[in-house]
Amino acid sequence: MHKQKKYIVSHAPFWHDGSRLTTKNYHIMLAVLIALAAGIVKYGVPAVGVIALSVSTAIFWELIMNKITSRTATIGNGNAALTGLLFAMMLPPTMPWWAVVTGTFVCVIIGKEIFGGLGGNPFNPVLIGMAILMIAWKDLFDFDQALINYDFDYLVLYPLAALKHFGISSIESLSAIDLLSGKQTGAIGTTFGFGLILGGVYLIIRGFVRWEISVSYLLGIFVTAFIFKSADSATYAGPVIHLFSGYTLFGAFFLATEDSSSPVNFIPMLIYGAAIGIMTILIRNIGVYVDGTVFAILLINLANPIIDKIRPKAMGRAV
Amino acid sequence: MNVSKDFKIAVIMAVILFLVGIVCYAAFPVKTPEKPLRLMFKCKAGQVLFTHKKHASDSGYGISCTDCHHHNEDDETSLMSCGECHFAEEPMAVPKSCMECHELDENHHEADSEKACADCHQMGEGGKTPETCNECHEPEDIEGQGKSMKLHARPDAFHSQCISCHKDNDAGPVKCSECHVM
Repeated sequence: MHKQKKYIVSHAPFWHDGSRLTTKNYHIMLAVLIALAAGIVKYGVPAVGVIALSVSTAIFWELIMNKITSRTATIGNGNAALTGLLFAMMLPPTMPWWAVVTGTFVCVIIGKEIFGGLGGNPFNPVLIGMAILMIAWKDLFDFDQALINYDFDYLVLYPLAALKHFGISSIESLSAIDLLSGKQTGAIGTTFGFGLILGGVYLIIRGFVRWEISVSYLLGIFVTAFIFKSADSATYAGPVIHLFSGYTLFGAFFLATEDSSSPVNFIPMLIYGAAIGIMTILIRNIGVYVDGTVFAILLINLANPIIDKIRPKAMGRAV
Repeated sequence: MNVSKDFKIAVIMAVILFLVGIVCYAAFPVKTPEKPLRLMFKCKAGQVLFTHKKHASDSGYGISCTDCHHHNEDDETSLMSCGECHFAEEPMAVPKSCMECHELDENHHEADSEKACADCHQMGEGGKTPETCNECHEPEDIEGQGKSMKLHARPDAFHSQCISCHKDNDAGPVKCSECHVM
């Protein structure tokens, strides 16, 4: 048996510590379960339909692409299922089946597989699918319209849309606790803030996502929203509504932290997260879109290779 | 766990979830409530979300159905939509026949009667169906009930009804951008 010794570097072959991509992906799926369950309780069986169809078709699209390109089947690593699950969590429960199937096609094929599969994708595949659907069929993402037949005992207005169209007075009845405990309308898996935070902290503690990105992202949102609020408190909402509504918490822990499209060095991770936070608030406050999270993360994904150039100087001198 | 086992789990999971998805979509669509909760009016000036339940329920504003909706002359509970008389393709048109609005009662012949409405009832000029309200109704008959002789376009009807009520009660939005998503 191999006996591991500390402080000794030996030549290959090395002992594998047992960590696997499959383990990581299934742990992320485990981490979103609380928020997901809250969404299912809130929206009922139609939400289950969206989730089930999204996860299954994402797996099928990846399997089909594996067959077409004659590559080893990669669906076993759980990434396709994870992509489908995260995508479904960002949709309203009334999403038509064809939009779900089209969305997972875009996520898996255009977002990931055409770049060579997992690890080669420059953007978060889930957000590629979301962005294309949001532009192509923007009415499907009008949560006020989508949830018109749902009755709740709290304000049934999508907070960010109400804020943008009717000002702060339309959402002043929403408190931070209400927002965090899911008393707000929104997508299937993004309204229960406590569940998202719990899942995110679990992933950070287990080392599956980097805290630097999540924390700097939330700080970026907080500081930028605070500056806007300080400049014009009658027009712009404070940090609370921006932190706890829309896709913010979901983006901070589960979207911005995607491996392939985010930096690996310490300073770049802080810059990357903060830049997404700043961009999100800029789009929400002065852009045309109601929730800037999707486009903000994609935009900073684009800058990721440049940001990640900031790294410690290599020791020694080139010969 | 080897690779093939992961693969099998993924395939089984995909097949089961696919079937679950089909069943959920086919058998459990989102139910439309008998009385609308909220209504989204689509229009060129920007859509309007109308909180129907909040306006109509006793825990909300407690407004009576007939304060907004048309109803049959004899039955206040039988609500009629604008489109039952004023057709979408011709919103300004009056009904083409009597039976589009009125129902036969016991004093009238059954539908198989050879008699036409106009045989007994004075219709518009030359026995034709009326083209304007005034051909049948005296202005005071209608305006005295708070109704206008003028046929409204749908947006005018909604604007007049919503805004006048909000102003009368000094509550609710009256400006364009307070209702319409611009």
